[in-house]
Amino acid sequence: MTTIDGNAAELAVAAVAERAERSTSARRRYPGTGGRRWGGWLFALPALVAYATFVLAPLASTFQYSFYDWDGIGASTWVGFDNYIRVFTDPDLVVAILHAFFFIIFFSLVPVTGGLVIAALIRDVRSRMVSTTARTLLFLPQIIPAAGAAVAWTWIYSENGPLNELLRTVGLGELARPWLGDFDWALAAVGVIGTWLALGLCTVLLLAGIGKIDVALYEAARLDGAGWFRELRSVTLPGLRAELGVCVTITTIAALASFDAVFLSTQGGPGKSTTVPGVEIYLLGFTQNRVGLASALAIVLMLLVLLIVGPLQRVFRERA
Amino acid sequence: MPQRREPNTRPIIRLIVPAITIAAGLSLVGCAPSAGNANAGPSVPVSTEVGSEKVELVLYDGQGLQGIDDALIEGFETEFPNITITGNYDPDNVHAQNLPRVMSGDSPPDIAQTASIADEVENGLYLNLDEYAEAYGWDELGDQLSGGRVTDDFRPGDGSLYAVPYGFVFSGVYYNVANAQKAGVTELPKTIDEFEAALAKAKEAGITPILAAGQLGLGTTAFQNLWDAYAGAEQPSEWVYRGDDATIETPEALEAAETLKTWIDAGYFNADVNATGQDDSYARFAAGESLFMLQGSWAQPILAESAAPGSYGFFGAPTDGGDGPSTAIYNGANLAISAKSEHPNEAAAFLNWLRSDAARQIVLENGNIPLSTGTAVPTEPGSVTESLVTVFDEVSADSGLVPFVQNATSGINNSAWVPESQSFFGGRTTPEEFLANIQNAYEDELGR
Repeated sequence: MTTIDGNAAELAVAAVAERAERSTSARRRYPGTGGRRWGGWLFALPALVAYATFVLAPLASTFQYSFYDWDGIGASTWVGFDNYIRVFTDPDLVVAILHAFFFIIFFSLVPVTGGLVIAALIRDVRSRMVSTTARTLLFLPQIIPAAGAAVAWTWIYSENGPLNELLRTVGLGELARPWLGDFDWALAAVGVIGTWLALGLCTVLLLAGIGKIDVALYEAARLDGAGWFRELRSVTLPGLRAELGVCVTITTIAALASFDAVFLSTQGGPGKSTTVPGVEIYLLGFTQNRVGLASALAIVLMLLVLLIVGPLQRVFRERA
Repeated sequence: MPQRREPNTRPIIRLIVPAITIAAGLSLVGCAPSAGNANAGPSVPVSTEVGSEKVELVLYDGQGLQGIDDALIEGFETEFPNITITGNYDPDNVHAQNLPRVMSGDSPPDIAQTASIADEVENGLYLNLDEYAEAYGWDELGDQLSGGRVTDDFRPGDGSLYAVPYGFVFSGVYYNVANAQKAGVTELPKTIDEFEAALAKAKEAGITPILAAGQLGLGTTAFQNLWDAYAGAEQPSEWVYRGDDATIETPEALEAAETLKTWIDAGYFNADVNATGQDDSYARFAAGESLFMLQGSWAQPILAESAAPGSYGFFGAPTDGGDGPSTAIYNGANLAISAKSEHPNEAAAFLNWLRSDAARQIVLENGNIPLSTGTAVPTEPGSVTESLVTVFDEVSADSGLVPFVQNATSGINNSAWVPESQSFFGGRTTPEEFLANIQNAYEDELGR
């Protein structure tokens, strides 16, 4: 045990040193431009204008609307923080926020862990054809729009759909149920759609990351007698810090800001058992004409995403 | 990839802070958001004469009514060759959502299908049609116009006329002929007791008694049928039309919810009711899955294509005993004229033409129930369409037409009826809780 640990520590140190060397050489290759720094902004100007028009201005409007009671057309009334108070006291809205957090398990935790294991397994596969096929199949969900996927999954989950048929065939007919119409199971069922959507992306991202890890590290680990799990923990995981950061960030945002998969499979039902902030914002703003409350919920959602994703960035930032 | 460091979040925050500061500034200096219009009268003197000058009008509606609208426009243009109407259509839910925004634009469509008429009138989107009603004599349509009326304090159902109907949809009971025979239901049930007996027979015969599309909260139809039957048309109509202190927590509504609960508990609905979508329910009913389906006249054109002719039929919602009034949940297709229209006289001429026999024939052929003007529109004897028109005329003569409870406010279907009916069907709420939750949402939306 001790020797292996010692070796692993050495390997890690070597990896970090190598990366530090790489980044300094990078800096040398692209020296700072000093006084010409402001010239760069000119090139960024078109993008900045677009960003200001399509991101910052709507954001500012949303923030402004969130302090009003407004139906989107007629006169509006200033209501101060009432909309925000409602976001945190209306049980329907609170439960929507809680569901978003629950979705982190299905949209982020499971796909990232699963992706890591699958990526490590694919790396071990010698046959090029098998690994390419596996990669393509896993990435396919990423190409299908979530809306289309949700429709297909609605069919899979239906009373006489393939999932229930399968359960009945293997003698688990008692478990068969209309999954998306079941108060206890609908949320998890929608979550699985999210897992299916995100797994391929995570796998492919992590595979790319593994490809960049120096093969010598794996060889050294093998020679030192490291098993598959030890290799995963001591070589693959530390080498994938940046990629894992990207995966976790993207999928966590997808979980907190989920809309399409939920809206098209359940519209938040049955009852409010699968509702999420994205769906509530849409329903409040566009079907109930409560633009102020919808805006307040949107601002809260944005702040929640920043609050969660900000610290995550810190965790996954590499120690230089 | 020489640099592997992730960008930190600080630049984002640096941009957000000024954005929020600007927004806060805007909110504080009091530029309150508003896109509203002032109510204005017609831009030209009211006249029933349209002359012969070429005029182009635009009509805005949901795609569900596109077939009927296009046919009506064609019929109208034949009689008024100088007037051209262009139809613009969006998917039905998109139409309902975008309507206030479309109509509040700078050059809105001249004619539009209303969605939540009281809110739209409150925002000054429609022309007051009282003068046209007088000039053309529309008032002879009586109660059929109530869906187009809005009071001075912006309550629907009464007051000035802002929209004119050209057809109706209403809800009743579709039944499968073969399943009725199999279950031993020899006569169509007229009362709730007879209806319940039929449900029990179907259940016994292993047939799903009622197929409902609960994913869209359409279990609500069963509740409203019962409420209307127990209470008569007035109480539920008053609630939908936002009467003073209107409440759904009445003994009759409670009885309706309790009866419905016994049906749910007895397994009279499809087991996957909360996961069943509307299109899905049409297909499954057409395939003979259930004895009954509580659905509207709008389903007939779809069923006519997917089910074998003669395999199904239609009858009116059951009544509460022999003396109970016959009722039907209904909605009108109401057209309003934009407050900003430059050709209100020509638009009003189109609205007036909708009362003609030619227009009514078109409406019926396209699956809606035509306006009742005293003369009958011919239907094929023994057809489902004939049953639909007969039932509608009977209920209409009984003053039993009740607007959909889902239309009480623009948001109440999504905020209350869909989730609450699903919870009720899922056994999560008691009849009392079901009604209390609906009433809370109602009062909340109306700011009471």
